[in-house]
Amino acid sequence: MTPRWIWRVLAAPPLVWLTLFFLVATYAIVSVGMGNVTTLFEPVPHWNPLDWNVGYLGQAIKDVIPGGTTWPVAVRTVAYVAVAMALSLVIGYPVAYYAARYAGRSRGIVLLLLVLPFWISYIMRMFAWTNLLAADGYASKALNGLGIDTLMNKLGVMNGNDWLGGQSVTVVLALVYGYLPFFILPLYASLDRLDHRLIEASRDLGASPFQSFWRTVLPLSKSGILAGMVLIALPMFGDYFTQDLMSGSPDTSMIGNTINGYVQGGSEKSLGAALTMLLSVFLLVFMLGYLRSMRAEQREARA
Amino acid sequence: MTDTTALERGIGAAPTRARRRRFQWRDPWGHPRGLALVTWIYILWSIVPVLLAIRFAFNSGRSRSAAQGWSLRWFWKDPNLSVFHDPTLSSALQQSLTLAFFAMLIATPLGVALALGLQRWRGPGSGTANVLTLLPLVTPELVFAVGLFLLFTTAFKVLGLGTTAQVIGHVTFSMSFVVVIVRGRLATIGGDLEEAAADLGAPPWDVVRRILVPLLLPAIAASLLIVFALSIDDFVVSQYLASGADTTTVPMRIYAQARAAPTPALNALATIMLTVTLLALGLAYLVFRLMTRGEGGGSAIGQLAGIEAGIDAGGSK
Amino acid sequence: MNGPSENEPEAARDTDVTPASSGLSRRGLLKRAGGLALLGTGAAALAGCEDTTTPVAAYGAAGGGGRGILGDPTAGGPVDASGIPLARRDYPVTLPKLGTPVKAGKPESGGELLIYNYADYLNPAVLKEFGRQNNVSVRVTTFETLDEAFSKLSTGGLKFDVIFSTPDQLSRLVGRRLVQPLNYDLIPNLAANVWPEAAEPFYDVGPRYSVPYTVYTTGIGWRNDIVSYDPAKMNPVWDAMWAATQYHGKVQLLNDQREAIGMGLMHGGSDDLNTEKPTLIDGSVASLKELNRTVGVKVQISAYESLPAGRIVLGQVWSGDMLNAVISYLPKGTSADVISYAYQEVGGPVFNDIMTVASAATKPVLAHKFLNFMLDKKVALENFTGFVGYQPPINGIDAALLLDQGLIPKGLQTALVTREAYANGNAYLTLTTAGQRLWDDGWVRFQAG
Repeated sequence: MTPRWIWRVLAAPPLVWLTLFFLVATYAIVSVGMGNVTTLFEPVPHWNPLDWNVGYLGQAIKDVIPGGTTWPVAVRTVAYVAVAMALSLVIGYPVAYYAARYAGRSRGIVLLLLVLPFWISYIMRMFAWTNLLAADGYASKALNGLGIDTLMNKLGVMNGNDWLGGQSVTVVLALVYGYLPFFILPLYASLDRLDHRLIEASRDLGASPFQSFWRTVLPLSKSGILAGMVLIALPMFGDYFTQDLMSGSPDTSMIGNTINGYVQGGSEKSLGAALTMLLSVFLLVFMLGYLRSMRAEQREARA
Repeated sequence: MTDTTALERGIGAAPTRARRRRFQWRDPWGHPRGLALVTWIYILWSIVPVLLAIRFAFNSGRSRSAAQGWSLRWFWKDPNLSVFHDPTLSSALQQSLTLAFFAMLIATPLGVALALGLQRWRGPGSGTANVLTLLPLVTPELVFAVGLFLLFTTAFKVLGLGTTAQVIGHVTFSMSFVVVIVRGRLATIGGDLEEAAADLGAPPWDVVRRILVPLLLPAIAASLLIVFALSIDDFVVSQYLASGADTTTVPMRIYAQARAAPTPALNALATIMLTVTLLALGLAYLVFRLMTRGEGGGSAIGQLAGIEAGIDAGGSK
Repeated sequence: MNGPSENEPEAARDTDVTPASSGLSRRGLLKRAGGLALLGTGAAALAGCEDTTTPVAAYGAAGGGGRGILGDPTAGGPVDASGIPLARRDYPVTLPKLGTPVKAGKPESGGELLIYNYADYLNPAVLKEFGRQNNVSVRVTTFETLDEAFSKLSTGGLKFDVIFSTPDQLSRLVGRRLVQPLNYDLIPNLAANVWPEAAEPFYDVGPRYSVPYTVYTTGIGWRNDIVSYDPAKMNPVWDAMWAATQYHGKVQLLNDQREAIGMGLMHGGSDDLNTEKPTLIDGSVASLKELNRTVGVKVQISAYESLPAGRIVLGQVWSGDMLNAVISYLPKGTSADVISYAYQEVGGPVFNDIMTVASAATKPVLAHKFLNFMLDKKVALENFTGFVGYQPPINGIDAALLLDQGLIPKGLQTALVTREAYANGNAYLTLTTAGQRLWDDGWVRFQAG
């Protein structure tokens, strides 16, 4: 048997690296968020928990509760992410399902094309859309020609006919476009592992195709769906560059923009750090909720 | 049941054409055209915009929204604005490649070592080590970038912002992906060969060097590629840790100029970047295929997709 | 990361070594993280710690009470965050000499001269020429807003030789020791060519740290072939922005905290652009929010490019932007006559930008040479009319010369700045720490939408 010490020796340098550049970095957010800011607007981190200043955390909390300055941004972010997740599910599930069950001979190509967006930089994919949605771009002309812009105006998610002019619909669709591949692949992996025989059995027992899907396939794929949704919700909440590229208007700003504004462009990095802490806690709660439902489902599956 | 016609004609008679068509439509084992349509529309929607952006890179005019002739002007012919001649664009390309190269070199060995260590480590501390390894995968990039930015401007001021900081950032979040890939491969290999070698008296370091590493070569190749791609495409961490024009990467440059109506040179830059990544992908696919010849487990594309899904399932961007 | 069965599909199929069995589970991870977080906040609460958002003194020196790090008690008047008194036209300020000016000598050569500036604010041909003459390559890093620039500079991680900025930022650049005092013997063109009011300004008596770069006014620029009304006839001219409801989404608001809130102040009838009264600032932010609601503004500074292209039809712009638009960005077939500019002649902002040398400059003598080069009459004229569009405060470059030689279109004469206008104009100047925070908060509130 290989002695055990060699594994720890191997694992030590990377663990030290991760501790230094990940754990300490995360702690830096806390210590700056719980620190002070000088009159010249530099942050003074308080590394010692006994020295912590809850002022900026308190200010950040005051800002994100209803009535605060960042409340509208928080609400808007949750709304965008929720709609984007719903759209991703509606578009992504059929695609993953098809790839997993029916692709047959073209499975290789379909997979290749589904995996391709991973290798294209996110920024480049958004950039491609700025080309197309410019006032004289192909997509703009097509959409406006078909009257989609008036439809969106009527629905209240768009104002005017400039798709890149501060429109909620553009930002949400861009989020969907950007993160869908990250949703489809794990869903595909999970659907791929579905036991076909269960579906066959349900059909043999007399279920119509729709019933078979609704009552057999969908419940079995719940864990895959949940996994995919959590997977795309996490980065979406921290996204700021999508709305910067596709809109640039304060009307569509997300919580990521607020944090980015405070930390990179502003005078109160501590407030930005405190907001980051709040965002992380929120996402943690989100993940816990997902885990709880996973556990419940596993218990059910075992029963 | 409505097939009185068949009953009337007698059992065994061939169904009429209308009935055959209806049967096809409701055939549960047949090909679902609706789903296929949705899938292919999605794939087109997903890829065509990028193809168009690439097309515009070859425009001979200045337009970025309409096709205007064919020319290599924006790549190197234009003496001022092309990628080759415009220092902001060419230095972005250079910086992206430099960062990806160093990230690849540093993250892969660290990740492989960590994967080996974690896989075989039983005992106190292994749980925490596992947690620590996978934390970067669940952390949103903005949070991570803010943390590193604050770290390098307060406690680690001596390192400061710049290329070093950017490399460190890229390595840190890529490492976890390498671990996931290598552990997947380790699980496939199993522990028998290792044990056999140890039983035959090989010293522990030899076991690692001469048994495990060669067996892990496909995973290492995949890791190199994935770290390269992650680093090249990375935006948030690079932007937060940049220190000036010479530490700007291609995604940062695209982001900065996209809303200010640049020339198609920006499209050209993006095209070059994409080509480099796809070449690396192609190379890795060939290497992976060569190395896993005869091992089964599905086509190489399927395996790579499986790795993708595994990584993807293991983390967020 | 899903449950154990989802993690590595290939692995799960082949063996039984799953992540769960190797000690990892997402649940465990989150439990630990959650536990730590609770512990942390618990500790903080129990420790009965500090609870403040008031800035503390920089450098640990005694501060507060408006004294700042230099603790300057001059005249007991208001001081900014660095303890430097607020410069006003009727209260010239001599900046403290922090650091020693570089000694005259041979300019460094080879390598790169690093400049930190707005985008599209230096003529590339001019930079190439300087590079050629001095055997260096000139590299410009750009920032979008002054806040972002100061924020990045103050992290101390950036290395530049020349920093472009504005007079209201100068005292905090000095206080933070980001710029060095200049050796004016190396910049003879300042005394020889530049308007006296600009060469020896009230915000930098001496001068000690800066030289002026360009002068400009802020006003409304518009496409007179698209906009149906005439902003030049409105009083104040800013009403044109609020009247642009039919051009929703095609109106620019400058992405500059002082300029935007200042416009709100002027629209509301106030002419104190350096007010620290919360009611006035709040009123301005409210009217900006209403502007965004009814008109749908784009918050950016690139109208010099989008106005000629028609993507913006009207906006708050700097005077130089309009000339820049005509010089560099007019699409083929569009005449320069379609672009107009109007500004508020009484009480509207008229000021200049400055050039400074960074204290961490690796090529300080060359940086001084660059400043001198930019103040040369021919170079300044080439910079102005060949690309940038912003007028330099150089003797002899005035409306007469420019119109005579056809260097600018007649319709944009309003975009030029006269010496009288400059000498008496209103300007955005340094604020006290408390005042600056009011403006910062207001801007954040506006940007939250």
